[in-house]
Amino acid sequence: MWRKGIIHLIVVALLACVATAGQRERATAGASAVPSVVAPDRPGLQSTADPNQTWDPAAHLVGGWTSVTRTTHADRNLITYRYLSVDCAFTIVDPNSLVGLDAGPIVAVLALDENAKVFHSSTAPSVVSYRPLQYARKGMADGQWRSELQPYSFSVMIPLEFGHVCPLLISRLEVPVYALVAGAVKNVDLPFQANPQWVDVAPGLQVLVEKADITGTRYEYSIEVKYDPGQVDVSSWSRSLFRGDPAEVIVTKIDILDAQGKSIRDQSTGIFLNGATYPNRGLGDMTATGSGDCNLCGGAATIRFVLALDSYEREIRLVLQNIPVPILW
Amino acid sequence: MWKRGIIRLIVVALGASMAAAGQPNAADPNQAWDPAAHLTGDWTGVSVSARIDRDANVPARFIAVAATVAVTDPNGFLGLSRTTMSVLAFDPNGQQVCSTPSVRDRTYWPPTRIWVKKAGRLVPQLQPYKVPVDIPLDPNRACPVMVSRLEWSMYALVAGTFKSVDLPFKTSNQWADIAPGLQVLVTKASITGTRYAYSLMLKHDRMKVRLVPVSGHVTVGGGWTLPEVTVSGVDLRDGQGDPIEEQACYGSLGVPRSDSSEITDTLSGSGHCTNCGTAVTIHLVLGLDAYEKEVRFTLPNIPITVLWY
Repeated sequence: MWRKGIIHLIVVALLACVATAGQRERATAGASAVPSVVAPDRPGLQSTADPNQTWDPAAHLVGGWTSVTRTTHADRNLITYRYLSVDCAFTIVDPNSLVGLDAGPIVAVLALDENAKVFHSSTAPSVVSYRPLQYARKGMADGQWRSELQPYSFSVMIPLEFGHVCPLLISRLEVPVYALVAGAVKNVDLPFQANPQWVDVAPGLQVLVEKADITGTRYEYSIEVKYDPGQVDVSSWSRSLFRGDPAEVIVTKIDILDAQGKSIRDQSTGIFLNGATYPNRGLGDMTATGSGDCNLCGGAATIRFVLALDSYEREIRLVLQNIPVPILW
Repeated sequence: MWKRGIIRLIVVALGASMAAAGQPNAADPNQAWDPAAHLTGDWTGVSVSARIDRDANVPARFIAVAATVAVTDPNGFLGLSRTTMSVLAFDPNGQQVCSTPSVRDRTYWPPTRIWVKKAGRLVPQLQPYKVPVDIPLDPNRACPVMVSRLEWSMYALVAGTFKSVDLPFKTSNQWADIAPGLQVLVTKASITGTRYAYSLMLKHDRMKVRLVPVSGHVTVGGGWTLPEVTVSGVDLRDGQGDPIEEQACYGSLGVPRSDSSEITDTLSGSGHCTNCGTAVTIHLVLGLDAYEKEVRFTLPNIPITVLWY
């Protein structure tokens, strides 16, 4: 039975276990670490902290659960399985240095029942890919437009073994989530104008601004890119996911700025599009294109490349307590 | 105006469920397209679930049927909305256990297809839509032992007429008018060893013409009218009209000028094949005069008791 009054006991702790580049340390169930209670959700913050300092997840993320579902499923061959699904979310209070978060699948490594007995344990799966941070443009009451960082939502599946009694309560749930963190963040600015010369943006990364047109309220650009796939990851440019060991250089964003150095997209009303094509998929060349038609697009002055350097993986252990389990009937 | 013969095009009219333009009753084209002849509903699994939202006091309970909709005959079919509506579920006594509102979804998704080899030829095989049908239940009422009848509606986007257009697989500097309000320019058509690549520019009125390979779907409503022309597919064909290889096709959206609905999109395809040298045409499939059609599905006897243990 669902016991009221338990819900408020939620405590979220983020435990960090450093797994430096090339040295992934997979946590096992119940790995010890020092919990730190995270402050309640806060709206997105603009941190002025040095992004190159050691990255403390508790200073950047606030986690919690939003719902829990108990399900029994049968296919047409009457093969049945049961599971609990806990919907969780991280509010990203400080995105500094955070390149992406685990794209899953995310599984619980430890779940305890109402008697503090383990009813599920597993090892953490290998990280497959990362999900870049997601922003949504939003019109504000003052008429301005701002990009808002979206919460990172994910579901945690807990399979229930056949014949075992389903718990009434998840008294403790430990969930490892991996973050990709930049050792340093670097902005490289180029004039918003066509240039027949290749420009070195970073080691292993050259660009040629083939087209940079401004016509009335509209801008349009096309950039040829040469990169060393062993050194540079450009996949987040097209909003897809990057996989495997972090590259030395990750291009996290391309932005168009006005003469004051402010993002045009973040301030403007209008339509913006960008994309990328890979003539030899993953083999070192790419064409990045973008366009906009907006009230401020005519002021395009700078193309900014945002680069994450020397990125590394970091395990974040989300610990949730006292999650009620619904009964089916 | 649509000018024929600007470039030598091979225009092939495919079998169409005709809602012919100019006919007096073309305003009721829904008479022509019988959903039962084109779409088939089924189910693959069923779940019972209970959910607690952190901010809610009462758990929600529901049955979820993993239904599928197979496209048995693609003629005239452009896409299906993903949302189920007007769900009705009945227990074995004929009592209604659930009724959901008619919230209409007007975004239409084409069926996904995979290429399979049959008799040495690659042919597209349409994949069924996966359609989750949720049956919310009264938490204070017993769960039925069986859903004796499940009904739901979805909307389909249907073309009054289909036709295909084959463009020569070679670059051109001349725009081709392939349908009213749609011009195409082949900007790239190359074969290097076992690799091919092509690129098209498509100039069109975005209110009248929709490019599914570029946008991935067709939205109606919210200012968008039913398209007069829908480009539903693009692939590369040999001299016999057979596709030469599975391919990656991707597009980029253009930006319309503020004062005009005219837009130019880019559509590119590339891939590897053993017989690239046989590529002769870039094959486009167009659906004309699209309309929406409500489709009602009914499934009998979905057991629930198996879930009680």
